[in-house]
Amino acid sequence: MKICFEITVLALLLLAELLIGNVGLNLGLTAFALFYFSVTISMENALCSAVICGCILDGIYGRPGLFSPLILICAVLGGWTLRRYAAYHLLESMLPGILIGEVVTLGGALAVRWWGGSPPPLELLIWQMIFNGALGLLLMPALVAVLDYFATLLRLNGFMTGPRSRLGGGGRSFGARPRTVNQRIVVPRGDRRR
Amino acid sequence: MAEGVKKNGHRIFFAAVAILLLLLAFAGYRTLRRSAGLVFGDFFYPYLFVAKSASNQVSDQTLLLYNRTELAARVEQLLRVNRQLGAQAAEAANLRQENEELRRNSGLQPESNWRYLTSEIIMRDPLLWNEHFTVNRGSADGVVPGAAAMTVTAEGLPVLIGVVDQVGRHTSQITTLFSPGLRLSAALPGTGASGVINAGERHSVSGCVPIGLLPAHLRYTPREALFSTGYERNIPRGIKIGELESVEDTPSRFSHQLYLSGLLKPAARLDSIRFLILALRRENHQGGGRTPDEDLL
Repeated sequence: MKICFEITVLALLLLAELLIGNVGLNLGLTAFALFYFSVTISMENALCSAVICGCILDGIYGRPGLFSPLILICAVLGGWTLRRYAAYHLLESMLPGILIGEVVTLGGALAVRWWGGSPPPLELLIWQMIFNGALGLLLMPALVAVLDYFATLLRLNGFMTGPRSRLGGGGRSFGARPRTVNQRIVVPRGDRRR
Repeated sequence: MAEGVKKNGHRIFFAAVAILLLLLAFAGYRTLRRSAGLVFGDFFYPYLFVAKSASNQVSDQTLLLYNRTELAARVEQLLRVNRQLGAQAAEAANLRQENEELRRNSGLQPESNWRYLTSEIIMRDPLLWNEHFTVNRGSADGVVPGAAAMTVTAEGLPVLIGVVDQVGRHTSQITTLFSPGLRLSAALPGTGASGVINAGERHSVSGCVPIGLLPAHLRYTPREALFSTGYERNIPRGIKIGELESVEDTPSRFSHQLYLSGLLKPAARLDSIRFLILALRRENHQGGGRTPDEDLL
């Protein structure tokens, strides 16, 4: 069920990206969804999906080379480094959203240069980064809220509601900030005599 | 301990499989790229078409927001433009008749007839905005690879913007002059020379494309107009491409340089283009044409 949910969400966002791309905006909507699934399902799943989605995106546009998988992988990993292991508030997904937006913008400019096209001038690139960062700041919490709602309906793990996935499946999570709690057992005076 | 070793083994196996899949994807992409775009383009065509028709409906409905006076003024303006275009078309028809008569009298072959197909851009890559896009005409409408893609300026003059690269059943991909892979010949009637677009050294000048193989012994005038030569089979001759922005300095008398490079400023503004005209040979439509492999691209 979670794979079906993931495929449906990614397909819809891919289509939305195509339609939004027709007005000249490169928002990288699939990157935001992939970050969501990296938290709710697993990082391995998200990375595989990033490669597949990137290949499909480059294939649809007929681009000269495969660069979108790399952009999506970097965006997901970048979002992961800024996420807190235990997010207690929806707005805590803003920071990863900003970084994902910046990575998508910079990655796009690098890709155009790699393909031999005309990258945007530096001034325009800065404005695009500001715009995409701001959009990521708003889009990520909104996407988390919407997807969490549907995940709850389908009884799946949500970003805020379910257990958090770890990078690598065990041990200390990469980029997360674990909280160490010092525990000390205090034995009351009366019990010591016993 | 054994569990840890097993987990490491799993991780190594997963990493190896991932690397292998990535290699396959990167290596196979080049082969599949030409057909994948068409497959996905035809797959997404219904959704893109619905979105486009919805936005067209909305823009059509906005006409109803104008009052009668504004609508009447617009109708008058359109009638005036139609009358001008009608006069131009009649003049062009007279010239065509004269041309055919002269060719007959001189014993020359008649010029090929072209038919023009309008198309709408349904998909554009936001990263490669000016390099290529997809239109809603395909092989079902008679479009062939190498066909010329043109737009019309505000004055009603056709301007070449690119050629059809790949053709699907309902969609086609257009490669524009800004794409580095597109090589087209261009003629400078004022100088009597011809060059090749995208053959010169590439400069990162916004809005210009390089043009190379310009003979070094000729003098070039800035802002000189360039037109299509007709050497490419599916591109009509005499379509304006753009203007010569600059040419590198003429070499000294003792230089071995035979050709010069320059910059061409395309006449079409691709940023907000929406409709295109595709030029198709009538013999291609009748099914008696040559195979697409013989097109020069």
